Amino acid sequence: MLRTLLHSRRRGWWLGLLAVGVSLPLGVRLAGDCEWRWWRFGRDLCLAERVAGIPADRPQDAVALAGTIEDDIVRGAAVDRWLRAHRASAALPAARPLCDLVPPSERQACGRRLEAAHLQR
Amino acid sequence: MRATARSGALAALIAGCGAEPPVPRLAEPCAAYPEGSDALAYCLVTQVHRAATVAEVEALCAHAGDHEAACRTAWVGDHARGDDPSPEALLRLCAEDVCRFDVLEAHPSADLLVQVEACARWTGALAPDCVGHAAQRWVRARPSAAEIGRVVAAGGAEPALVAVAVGQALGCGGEGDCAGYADPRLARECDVARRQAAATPSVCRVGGPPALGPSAAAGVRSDPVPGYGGPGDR
Repeated sequence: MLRTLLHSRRRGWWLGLLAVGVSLPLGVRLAGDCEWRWWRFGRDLCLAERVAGIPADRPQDAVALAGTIEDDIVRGAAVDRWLRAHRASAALPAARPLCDLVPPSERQACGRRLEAAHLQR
Repeated sequence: MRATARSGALAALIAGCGAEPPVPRLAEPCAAYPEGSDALAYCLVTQVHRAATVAEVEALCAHAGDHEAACRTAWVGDHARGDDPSPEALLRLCAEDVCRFDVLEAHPSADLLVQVEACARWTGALAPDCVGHAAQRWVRARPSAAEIGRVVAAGGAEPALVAVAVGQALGCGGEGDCAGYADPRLARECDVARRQAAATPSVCRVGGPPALGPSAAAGVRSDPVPGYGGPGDR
């Protein structure tokens, strides 16, 4: 059948269809990966969702991933969301660098909240 | 539905249809963020620093959803060390313990008993830390025998923590006796702290080991705020 396809007069058409058939699922899969969002803001929002999914025992992963978010508000919101969910259980020294990723006006408050959560444990 | 309603209200504010005219100016930089998103709420928190009045803060933060308390805390943090708004007004504006803790730390009463009462009333789970800071300031101010006697006789909130403070004051050279406590448990707490302080002189010194807590301990004001409103203000 492949030989028939390759030797048919519509070879280009069939090969094109084959390429689309292979690349479409691949493209869908890649579109699910934030790095492949063409829209910078969309990529940042996607990364923020991924940060939210990082478990409490991996604050260093949250730091690394949040650090790749370009928009400072989206990045701050992602950090804040992760800390709200995990600050009472996350290891304090490892989580502290997250506060360096929020906008300068919010850094002090971020640090104090982190400390306060540990006081309440 | 709720998010949609909130976003609609925010859009109205940004468009200038809100009841509070200054709010659209403050919310404007946040118009780019998706309606109902964390980013929009967080953006409003970052903008609250530009608010000039308590009314502006309340109006803006009302649209920050789950971030409303943090929004109020952010503005209170900027103004906690001043006298306008008053500490009482700031305490009423606060919507979480860490915010009230900051206000009490910024305006500590020189009267240990007043400060301990305020800590117990306003700071929830942070009360032990709040009392700890107050006790540390009191001990380092070298209270007189009469002052120690007054505190021992008074009772009041957080008696065990106050007994520890009394013990530390005695261990740091204060005159008096833990036997002044009628409750043997408090007398014991006091005595253990007295012996520990006597063996650890750094406890007694200004500039000794820093207190643990969300804020650095503030200095004792020369014009102490006598109280923070009556019960039910919260």
